[in-house]
Amino acid sequence: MEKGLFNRLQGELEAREQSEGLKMSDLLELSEPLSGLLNWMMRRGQVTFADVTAFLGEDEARTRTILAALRDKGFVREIEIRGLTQYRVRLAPKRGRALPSNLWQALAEKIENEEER
Amino acid sequence: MPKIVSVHSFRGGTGKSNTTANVATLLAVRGQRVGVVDADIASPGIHILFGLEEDKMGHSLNDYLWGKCDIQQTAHDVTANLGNDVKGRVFLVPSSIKAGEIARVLREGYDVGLLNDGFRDLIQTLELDVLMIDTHPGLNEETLLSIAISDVLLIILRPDQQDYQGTGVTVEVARKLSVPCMMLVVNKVPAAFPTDEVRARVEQAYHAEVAAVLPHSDEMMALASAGVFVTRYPDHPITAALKQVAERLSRSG
Repeated sequence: MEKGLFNRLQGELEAREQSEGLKMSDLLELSEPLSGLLNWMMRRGQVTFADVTAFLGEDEARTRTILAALRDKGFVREIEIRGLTQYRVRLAPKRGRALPSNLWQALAEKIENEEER
Repeated sequence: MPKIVSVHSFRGGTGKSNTTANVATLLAVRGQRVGVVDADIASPGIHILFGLEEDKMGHSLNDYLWGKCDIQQTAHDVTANLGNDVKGRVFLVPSSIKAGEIARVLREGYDVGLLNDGFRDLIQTLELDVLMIDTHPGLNEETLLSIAISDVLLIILRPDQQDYQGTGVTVEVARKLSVPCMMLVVNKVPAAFPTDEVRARVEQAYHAEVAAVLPHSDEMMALASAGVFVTRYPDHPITAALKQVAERLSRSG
């Protein structure tokens, strides 16, 4: 990756606010190779540092910088599996829909009735 | 190599669940182990096609998303409901049809990461060849997730101006998400429309392969989701066209 592209990716991530996880709209907005990396990680479940380095075709220092930026923004988290650090995409939870409280009240009564049955 | 096939349509009523159930069955007839997830949490229904009755549903996808059970506990082996020609297996993960549970998932949301993990766990634990995801129409978080992680995206549309425009949106999103293989199925085509012309026009409009053009069928309408069409009408032209879709999916990737 050219230094200019690397700097652009870093800048793109720095400009984003910290999030509670990756939304699919983020995936559509992010530029390549960030969106490709996150999509590939989602498909794989978890990946090692070496996997990411190979995917990006980057040296270790730059890979570390990109992963750290993704982690800081809440898009990626590190986990330990059998002593090996792995990286996973952290997907944002789907939020409930805001509806008028009386409608939720009616639905809550419905849920209670079903649970009692 | 197991593959994930998402079945999507931009608008409702295109025959998405019907196509999913029929193609899943045809893949199982070919000896494959197929998982089907009803990811249309807001308006589930594919369990009806597979003859899974509500009182026998047991655990659903909703239970898994609420942490009440493992994903494999939600998978129901429905192969026995598909006749004697099925050499493989079909496992269905239904979404809850209880109004209160649908309301709860809409009100509280859920962990999207868990849904993604569940898809992969299903493939592994059930040793699936194919996982088919029946998505909610339009674009929302779980639909986009399904598209993003798909090896194959099957888009269903009718020869209808609203469907044409909406399909353009889905195709654009799928390209942005780098889905490796995208195919279109044009469904409910009136007899007056020449099949080859419909195929050519749709392929030209979206620069994507049309896997099948399915004619409107009174037999399909009369069956009214009371079963899987290809098991009831094995010699029907629609069954022949759906076999081509199954064959094409088997060859993909």
